[in-house]
Amino acid sequence: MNSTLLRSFHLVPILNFLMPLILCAQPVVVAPQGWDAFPALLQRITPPTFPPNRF
Amino acid sequence: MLSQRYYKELLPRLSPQIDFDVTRFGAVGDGKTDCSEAFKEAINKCNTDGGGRVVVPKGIYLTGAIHLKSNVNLYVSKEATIKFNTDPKIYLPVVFVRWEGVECMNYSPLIYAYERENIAVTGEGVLDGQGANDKWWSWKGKEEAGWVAGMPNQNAARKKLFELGEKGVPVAERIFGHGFYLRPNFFEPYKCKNVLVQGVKFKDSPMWFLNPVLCKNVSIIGVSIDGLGPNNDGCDPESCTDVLIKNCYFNTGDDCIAIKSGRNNDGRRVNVPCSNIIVQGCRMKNGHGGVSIGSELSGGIRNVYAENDTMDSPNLERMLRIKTNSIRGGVVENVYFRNIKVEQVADAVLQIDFYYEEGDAGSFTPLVQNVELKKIESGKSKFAVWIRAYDRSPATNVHFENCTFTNVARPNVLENVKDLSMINVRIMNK
Repeated sequence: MNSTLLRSFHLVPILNFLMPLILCAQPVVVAPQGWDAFPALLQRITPPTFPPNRF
Repeated sequence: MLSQRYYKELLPRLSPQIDFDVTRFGAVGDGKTDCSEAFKEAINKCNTDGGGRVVVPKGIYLTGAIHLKSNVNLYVSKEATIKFNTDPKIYLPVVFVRWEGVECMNYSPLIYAYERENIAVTGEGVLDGQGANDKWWSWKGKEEAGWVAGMPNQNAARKKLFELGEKGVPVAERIFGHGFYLRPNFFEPYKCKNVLVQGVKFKDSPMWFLNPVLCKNVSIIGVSIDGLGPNNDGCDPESCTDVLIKNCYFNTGDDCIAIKSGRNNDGRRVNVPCSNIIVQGCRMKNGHGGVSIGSELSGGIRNVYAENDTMDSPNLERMLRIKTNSIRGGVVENVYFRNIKVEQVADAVLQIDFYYEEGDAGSFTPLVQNVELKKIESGKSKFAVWIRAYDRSPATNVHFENCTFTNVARPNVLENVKDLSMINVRIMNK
């Protein structure tokens, strides 16, 4: 009954099309702007050590 | 076998610090002996042994160009001075550099590195470029720099270099050096990763002092820069990514800090912007601009942060200066300043100038947007704000907040500015 219903409404091809899009969808992340981006930048700039730390 | 491997490989990796004293390699700190070879051998040994510090102990060491290699920290001890020879021939053969924003082959910078990783110049000592009116500076061709009629100068070579850059002549064929009078910069790491300059005092550079080009992850901390010669810019990060300039002192003959990304067609050919620059806790004394952006900015400049800086000399001309024109072109965006104290500047606290040098004479329209100044205190200036942009490209989104400008002699100049906003800003003529 269910499979007949699905076929009748052409849901299978629709789901086949939609599912990859749903699974791959990422939440939209807005990059911080202005001073909000500053702490991460300050943390990223790191002086080297001598000899270099290989561990 | 294991113990041998331990001493040869593992121990150096575990040691907190491995030192290579230059005197062990023949250097003599008498101010007379040429120590060039000793520096070279110490750096080579340090590099091949996996890295560490090349230590310059107390004394005065005369040398030519120092070329750093990966994992080498040139450590200049307290009461040690490295004096750089003023004979230009010592800085040959020519190496790959940028000169005023155009790539070429020229004299080696006094300290140079090309495509290296993990390099540093640190310590409490002095690096003396020995620039003076009778050494290097007269090549500028200005009488105030010691030039008199009949002496050689840089003018013809500078013009030629810019022409070669405009024509796109391969860099390997842009050979200058002896006989062309283009002065070398003091420290120019080129295409390097993880660069540190800390604690040392630089004085009297032939040209610019610190000019990292196309470098990533650069830290310049607690450095003192003192030189009033022509073009003595303090620190010019150029086409670099992630640069911290922290707790430094500048007393310079040109801009204290100038952020750059190449000049005109050559800058567009390389096409690498300068981005993510922090200027924090610095003191700017003499200089044309406390922080300048340009004029060599054809590759673009973005994300510049300055905070907690002090500018306290009557000879300083501007706090923040963005200078370009329609030959340079370039996009400048996201420039943020906060908590800056300016005792006085001779010209404007903020200047955005689209008519620098050649003016509106080209087809590369510059763009400046998102400039934000918060908590700026200025004690005296000719202008608070001076902006001249183009009708076709107005300076856009310029924001002031909680700023006080006192003793301002003239009203603001605002020519082609879009979305200018001021919140709690006081501009007073007394």
